[in-house]
Amino acid sequence: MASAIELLEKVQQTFASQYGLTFFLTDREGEVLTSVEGGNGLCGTMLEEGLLNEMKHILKNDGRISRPLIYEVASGVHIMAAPVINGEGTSHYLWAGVLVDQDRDVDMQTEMQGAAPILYENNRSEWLQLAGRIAEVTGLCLQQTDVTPLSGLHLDRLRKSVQQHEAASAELFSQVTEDGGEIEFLGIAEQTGEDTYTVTRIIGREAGALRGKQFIVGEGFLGRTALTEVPGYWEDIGQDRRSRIFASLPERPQLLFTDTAQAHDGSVAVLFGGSFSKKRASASTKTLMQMTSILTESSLLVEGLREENSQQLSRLTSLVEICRLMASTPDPRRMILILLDISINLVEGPFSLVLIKDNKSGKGKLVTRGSYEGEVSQYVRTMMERTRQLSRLPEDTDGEPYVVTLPNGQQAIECPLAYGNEMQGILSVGIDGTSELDLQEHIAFLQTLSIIGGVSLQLAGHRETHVEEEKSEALHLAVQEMDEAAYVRSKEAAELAAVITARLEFPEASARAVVRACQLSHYSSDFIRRMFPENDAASVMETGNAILQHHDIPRTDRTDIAGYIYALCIAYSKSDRLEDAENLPRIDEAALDTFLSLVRTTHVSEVEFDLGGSSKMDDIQEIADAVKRMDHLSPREQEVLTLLAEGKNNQDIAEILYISAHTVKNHITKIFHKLDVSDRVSAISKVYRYLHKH
Amino acid sequence: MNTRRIPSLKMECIMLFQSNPQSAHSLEDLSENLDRNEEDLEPVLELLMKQGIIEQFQKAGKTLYRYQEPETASEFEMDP
Repeated sequence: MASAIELLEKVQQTFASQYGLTFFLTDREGEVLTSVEGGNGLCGTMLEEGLLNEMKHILKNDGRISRPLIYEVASGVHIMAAPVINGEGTSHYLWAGVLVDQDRDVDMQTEMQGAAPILYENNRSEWLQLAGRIAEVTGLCLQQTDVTPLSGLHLDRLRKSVQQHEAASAELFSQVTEDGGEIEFLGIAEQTGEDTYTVTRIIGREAGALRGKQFIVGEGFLGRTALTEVPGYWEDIGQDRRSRIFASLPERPQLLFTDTAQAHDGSVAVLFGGSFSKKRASASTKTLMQMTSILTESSLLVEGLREENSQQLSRLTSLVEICRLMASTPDPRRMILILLDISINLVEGPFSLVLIKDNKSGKGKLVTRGSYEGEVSQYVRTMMERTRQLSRLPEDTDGEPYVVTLPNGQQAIECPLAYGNEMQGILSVGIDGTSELDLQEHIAFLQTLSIIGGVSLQLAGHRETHVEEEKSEALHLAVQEMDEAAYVRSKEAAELAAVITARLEFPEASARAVVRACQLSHYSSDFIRRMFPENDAASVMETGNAILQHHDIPRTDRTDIAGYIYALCIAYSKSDRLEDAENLPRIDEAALDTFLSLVRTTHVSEVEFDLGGSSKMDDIQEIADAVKRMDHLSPREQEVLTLLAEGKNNQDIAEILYISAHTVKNHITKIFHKLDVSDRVSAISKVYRYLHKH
Repeated sequence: MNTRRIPSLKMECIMLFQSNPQSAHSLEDLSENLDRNEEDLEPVLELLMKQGIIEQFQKAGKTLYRYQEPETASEFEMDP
């Protein structure tokens, strides 16, 4: 028995090298019987820290383990346990570990890289299958009183080939056939068509000519095994027609073993071996063939897992590079090009395109790589409808990529480029004859890519907007130094313009242009154009000034309405008389109605509610509760409104919530819009009304 | 058969051209920068040219490759 244990330890060492796991065998009570084999560092550490006690606890409490299982022994860290069947029932347990969760934190994974394999949701069953197979080998070793078949194998050589990332199955086949035993050739046939198998690997005396030979499922000995997936053993078959696949060889085999092995991608390979000279096999040769079959399947699985791991690593490396490249470029256009080029290459489809909001011009922009078949403008329209002019994430998507059928009948993966709920645009990647498996992988990669893209574009946009905002603010403050009254008037006008444009649902860039024109109305439009060449503020100002001088402007586009709003706000803030605004040439009725209702409401609100009195309310919790019931506000807007109702100013709110004053201002504008109010007093009064009503 | 592949060499090539959009690279430069055989690189460059991501041109008797920005870039109004 001692030699069987030694053999087992060697087998475990081999598997440990293959999988990066640590293996050991315990009895039914959890006492360790073999040495602990493997270089899984995390497992070693955990064993020192009492993992064995945990395992004994599992065995005691979970009763019999009847099939391979994965236990989470610490947060995100797993160990596999598989029953070892010896004779009638379970005699031992094989333990293999540890695996680390795919989403365990990055530091941990880096620290253990190369030591602890990663457990992905989609490879869980493969790991379990592997543990089960190794437990089978263990069971066979324990049954063997005569260990000759396996001891004949040079497991050290096999282990070395695994460590050097060579095909372990080739080394195994060489050893089995070179030993001068009864097995003279060994081969694998893999599925290459719906019903067709092709011999892909073959080792053995004079058997090389079999490579590339094909057979149909159900045809001959090999086809029968492919069909039934039941191991076969045939003696004295030299004249049997079912062995005709071997007809090209100098002689046909007399003895044939067949078995099946499942590969990593779920396909079934046919393993076969035999002898040209021996007509019958001894018991030890049968055992050897059984062992070889199990080891081959394990080798195929490990090749697949290794390939997947290397793909995962390659993806991570690519994503890190993409992050680095995005971070190093301040140019949003370059970011878009990165998204386009990476995605079209990943999917290898006909096109990739990015539809994005250009905050500077307020226009939508489309950049395409590859060729879209048909009218792309038709597709753009459907995207705009689904996202309400790129202002909302498409319904039921949660911001995750999804597959859509395009107006031209093709399919594409659409990935929203967003930052939180704020939409930047959409990355769309055409797909062309992609398998479901590939599609899921593409979607997973594109999801990460679009998150990186969304965040980078938002940050780049903020950097630019922030600089312009600061410049605008500085010029506005300069007016205060020169003419205090003009400053107050322009401030009032800008506040009115902000609410009117929000109520009319102006795009952000257009709204910003009107507000800026009002703030800087003290300056000439030429000066504003020089300062903000890429913003429409100067054009708004010119149109507005023409309206203020009672020139009739034919309404043609949004800039004219923007100019009209500017003129209304400036006229009213100068005289405080509604008539002055009402008497201007009427360019747009909706804008005028919004302006009038706003100014009238503001007057009423200012009379009816006293901000000082409201802020004296000491029961802050009640305010917070009332705001929480306003469920049409986002959680962030609720926080801002609560603080507003407590009497905090924008700067206070910004500091409390760790956000910029500019963001606070944005939230407040949205709150005003949602509550249909024009100022803080009215917003607070709504909170109080809510408080008393509910 | 498993056909899932993340084309890492293609990604590396794209990143290199993206990082240096104004530069032109010969096959030898690329082979040295990416530490890959020229034979491995050639089909990748062919594909990138087919996709319009890079273009090939001649300068002083040498074949060079450089990044090519997309041809299509259109703007359209976004209605309020």
